[in-house]
Amino acid sequence: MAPFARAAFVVAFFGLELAGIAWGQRAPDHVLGFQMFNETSRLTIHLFREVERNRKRVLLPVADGRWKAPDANGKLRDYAWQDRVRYSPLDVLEKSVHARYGLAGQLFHLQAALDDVVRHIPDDESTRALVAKVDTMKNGAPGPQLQLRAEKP
Amino acid sequence: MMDSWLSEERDAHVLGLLRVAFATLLLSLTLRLLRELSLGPYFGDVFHMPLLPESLVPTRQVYGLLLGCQALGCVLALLGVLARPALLLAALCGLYGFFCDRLQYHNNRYELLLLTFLVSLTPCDRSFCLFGSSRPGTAPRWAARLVGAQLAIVYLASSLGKLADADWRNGAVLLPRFALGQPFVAHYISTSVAGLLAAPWFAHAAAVAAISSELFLALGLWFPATRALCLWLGVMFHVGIELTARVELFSYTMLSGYLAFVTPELRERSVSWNARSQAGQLLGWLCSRLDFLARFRHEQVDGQATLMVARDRSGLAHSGLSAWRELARATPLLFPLWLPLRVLTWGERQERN
Repeated sequence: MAPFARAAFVVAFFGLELAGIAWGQRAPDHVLGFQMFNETSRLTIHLFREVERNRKRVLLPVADGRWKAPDANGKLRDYAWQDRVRYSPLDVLEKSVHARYGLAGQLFHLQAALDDVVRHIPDDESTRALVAKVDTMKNGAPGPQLQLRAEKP
Repeated sequence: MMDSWLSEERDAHVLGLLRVAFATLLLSLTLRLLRELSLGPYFGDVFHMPLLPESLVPTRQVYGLLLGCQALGCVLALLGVLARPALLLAALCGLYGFFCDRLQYHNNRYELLLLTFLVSLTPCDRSFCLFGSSRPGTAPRWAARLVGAQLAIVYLASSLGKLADADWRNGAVLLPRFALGQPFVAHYISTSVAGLLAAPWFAHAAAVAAISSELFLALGLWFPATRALCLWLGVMFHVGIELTARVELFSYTMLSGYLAFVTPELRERSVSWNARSQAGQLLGWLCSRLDFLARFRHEQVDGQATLMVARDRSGLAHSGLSAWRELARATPLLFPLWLPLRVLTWGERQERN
């Protein structure tokens, strides 16, 4: 490889990588950003289904991530959060877990997980939305309880 | 300067070891991914978040094939058969799979793949080949500098990220981590040391030390005057991380990358052992085996007054503790002893031969 081609490669390679780092520093999960040990935060996820009762929407807790709901024919079917979400720490419910790569990153992933799961339960006729209430602890200090929600399409 | 940097040719022997190290590390990661694929669901079939467009996420079968190619590339690189293209193939397969799901993102995996890619561009196929003959001599070494730069970028990005974060600077991030280790320390070491781990000032001091270390590692490796100290600090830093945190292959990846900073020229130092002493014969044999970076000319001298005499690059002869210091400085497995020996021999006068 000629020196000019080597120089061009160096500029292209590190230019792309540094652009990735700059983007990653701003991304909630710091992907590509080389942010090691960036937080010591924890989260506890409480999962709920939003269903209609007497023309009102109410939240039903989803124990262990499992629920039963009727399909269009009225037949009860089994559903599980962990059927789709195999990713740790989001597969653990009702238990405080370490928020790998930071709280913001895991909340970002959790919102995407909720969106993903509601897209994959078309047969569930009763669930209108999935809601996650999240207890947070950022770097040892208790934070607010946050609520994330994904409406079924 | 840039031009000479891009066109310099130096001995390529050490780069073979760099290839062996990264092929081994990537093979280890690949086997882990293959095991996960065989035991659990494929990430593309469950919730995932690709960095590439979803249409480019492979099917389970194609992903399995990619991992197979990756493993094969690593094995070939390890054996020295078509070593550079094989390592390049392994790195590219790995990077492609890596960008298919950001949920599987790990800094250490990304760094390993980038470094493996860069190592494949170096003349790393000229030594440490199980099949085929070695080709000693000089070769273009520009890509080895990129391996070093890649290490520096990681240290710099990590330290600047921490420096910009108030929680990191004041120790709030480290304090809960230290709290996790408190029961262990109280049980196996002492309660007073465990008490130290609960002190905010200690966490603050540790945070300042960690940020300073990473900054020093990013910059100090490039200057001959600070390189040895920097490498020693880096070894201690990564051994410490390895012992106290679960970071997959991160420590091994970074420590292997340090090989890019080894002076390329071989056997510029010498070490001679007293051939009449049994200890001299045994230690001489052992040190020659540990010298896989080929730093020393190994000699057995009849009637040498001391057990061992080491000569540094400038030809200065060292005996006693100073000789052990010189040996530790250039022998990877003894390197952790270098700084303690350097401190112990600080005031000793060197004897010019």
